[in-house]
Parts: sequence; structure tokens; C-alpha cells
Amino acid sequence: MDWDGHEGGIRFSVDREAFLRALLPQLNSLYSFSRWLTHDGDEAEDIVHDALSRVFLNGNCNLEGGEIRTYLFTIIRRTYINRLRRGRYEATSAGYPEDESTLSAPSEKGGFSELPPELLRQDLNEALAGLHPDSRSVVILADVEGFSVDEIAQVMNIPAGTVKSKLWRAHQALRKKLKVYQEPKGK
Amino acid sequence: MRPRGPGEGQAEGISRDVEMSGLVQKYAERHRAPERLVEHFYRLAEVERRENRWLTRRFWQASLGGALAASLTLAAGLGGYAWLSDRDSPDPYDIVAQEARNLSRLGDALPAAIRERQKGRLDKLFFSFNKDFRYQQKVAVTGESEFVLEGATLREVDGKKIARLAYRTGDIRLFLTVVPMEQNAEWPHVLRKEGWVLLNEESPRTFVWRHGPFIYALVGDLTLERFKEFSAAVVQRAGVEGR
Repeated sequence: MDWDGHEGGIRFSVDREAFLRALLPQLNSLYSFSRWLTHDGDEAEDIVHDALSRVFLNGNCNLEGGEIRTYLFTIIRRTYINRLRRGRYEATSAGYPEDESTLSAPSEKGGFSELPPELLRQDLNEALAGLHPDSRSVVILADVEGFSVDEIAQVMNIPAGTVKSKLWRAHQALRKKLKVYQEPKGK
Repeated sequence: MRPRGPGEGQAEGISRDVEMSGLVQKYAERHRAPERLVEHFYRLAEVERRENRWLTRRFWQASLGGALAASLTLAAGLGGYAWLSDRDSPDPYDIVAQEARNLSRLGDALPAAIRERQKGRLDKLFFSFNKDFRYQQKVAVTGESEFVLEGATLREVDGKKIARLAYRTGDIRLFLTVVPMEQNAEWPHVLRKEGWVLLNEESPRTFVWRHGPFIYALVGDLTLERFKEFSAAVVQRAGVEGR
């Protein structure tokens, strides 16, 4: 045993129980977010398990209820980034241009609701999967998880303005990918 | 008209494409966490709940009680048997803490309770406790007064042998309780990994840690630094490295 492990001693805190109570209802969302980041069920599970267990065991659970959800997503993303840096897997940006200059502004809208939902669901998820992980994260956090700009900025560790522009560009990238659905009927 | 969802209202100010946002909200896949992951954290929560309940009901009170217990007798300490026997299956964590509590209550009655002091008899005592356990009669810490073993006893609760040792350093008396560890998934997580836990910051301070095949509980008013030195010195000389 490395006795220096003592340095990592845990100061007992009943807050850990509160932390778990706050964590449990978020597990599906955290796993889903992790899955969206990694595209891999096992990796997503590993990330959630490792990130949350580490926080739990280190006793670093003293968070106010309002902050804890943001914090949980933050550590999931941080763990993903750390693994990314260690080269466990590569970020994908499968050919979807997200540079604002290459994207046309939305013009023809309104065609989506008339399309077969299953087809749209499949293509939308494929388009989402093809976004750069940062853009995908912003979209998932904003549209699926309902985070505010400031919360996303905290999770992503980027300025709020960058969140807004990333979200806008990501939406336009999705729109471009799905433009086939917006072709005028009969065309 | 797109359905109103969680993203709206909370995300004011986002320069979002409202229609795309609605599509993502409606159609993006929500992955369900695997059962084993959910079970893992529910299990942690259950262990934590049990630990908290146990701590608040027993150890915390016991520690506070210990501060007032200078006048308690050995008989009062032995009352722990009855408490333990009331429980269906006390885990070693309970036992070690209860023993530490009992020992700390002895106060001036300690000399009567701590029977073995001679090296030969201590050797036999601890060999029958666990052949891997190595006690230290004197624990020297650089720059500080050494810890001296005043005596030790062995007892058995629910078939589990428990060693109790009393050390003294200066005016501070320390009660060290040791229980062999057995693998048990139900044990509090803090003892499934090696490292120490400060259970009670107030006097008497209470530390619990695991090393190798033993769980240790120390009751005594040591500073954190001196506790680390003491525990490291005791364990490093205990001959259990590499386990």
C-alpha cells in the first residue's frame, strides 16, 4: 500500500447521502449525455461510473441543490475530455460544417412537421451524432436537458456568448443536414 | 406549433433556431442508463444511508458519551455485548467502533481492563488473534514523544476476534481496536478502499481506517498530523504490506 494514500483521507460528511439522493434522479440524463459524447454505451457507462464515484469517494459533495445538476454534467464532460486527451477515442466531426460562414441562414421552414416521424428521428439523431462533440454537447444540454446559457457555459467552461454562437451554428448545421425535408413539395 | 419543453423558458437569451431546437427536443434519443449502473449507485446510497444512520445513532453519540465517560466502569463497557447481540449480524465496522467506544469509556478503569503487558504474553495473545498481526510496544515518531503500549486484550464477539490495545503518548491515551477484515460488499464504502476516515472531529477524536487485512479504529485526541504518523508507523511495522 502506498501510505501516502492517507493524504486522500475522507472527512466523513453526511452530505454524501444528500449527494446520492440528488444524483439518482439524474442518472439517465447523465448517462444519455455521456452516450451522446462517446457514441459508445460501455464508454458512457465507464465515464458516469468513474466520474461520479470519484466525486463521491473524495467526499467533494458539498453542493447546494440548485448547483448539483450543473456540477454533475460538468464532471461528466470533464471526465470525457480527460479520456479524450489520453487518446481513448477521437472526437468526431463527421463532415458537418459548423462554420457560420458556410451555412445558409434558415429560409424555408415549416416542412418538418409533415414528415414521417421515424424517418426524421433517425436522420436527426444521425445529424446530431455527426456534430462536433462541443456543438453536440451544447445542443443536448440546451434542447434536451433544458440548461440555461449560463449553466451551459459553466458545464462547458466557455463564455456565455460562445454558447450562444455554438448553439446557433449547431442548429444551422442540423438544418443543413436535414434540408432534404425542407424541399418544397413536388420538387 | 411546437411543444413547449424543458429548454424553453430556462434558456432565455439563447440565439437558437427555435424550430430546430424543438425537433431536437422532440426527437433526440434519450439513452437509459444500464441497470447495473443504476444499481451501483442505489447500492451506494443504501450503504451510505445505513452508515449515516449507524453513525448518527451510535458512533456519534458514543463519542460524545466517551468524553463524559471517565467515571464509567468496565462493566459499562462490557454492556456492548448486549447491544451487539441484539443485532442480527453486526458487521465488523460496527464491532470495531463499538469496541473503540467501550475502550474509550474505561477511563481510569483501563489498567484492570488491559491485562496483557509482557512481551511474551502479548506475542501469544496476538498470535491467537491473527498470525499476521504485528503489534508495536513502542511507536516512535520523529520529533515527538513516542507512543507506548500500555496493554492489550483479546475478546470475541459473534465469532469475530477483536484485539484492543491501549497506547499512551504524554498525557494522551489512545485506544486502538483491530478487527480482521473480511470481504463484504455490504461494508461501508469507506472501508472498501484503503485510507482513513475522521469520524468525529470533536474530543475524543475518532479515526477509522483499513490497511491490509485489518480494520483499525483509534480513539484519542491526536492532531491529524500525529494521527497520520501514528497510523503509518503502526501499520508499516505490522508486517501486512503486500496484502
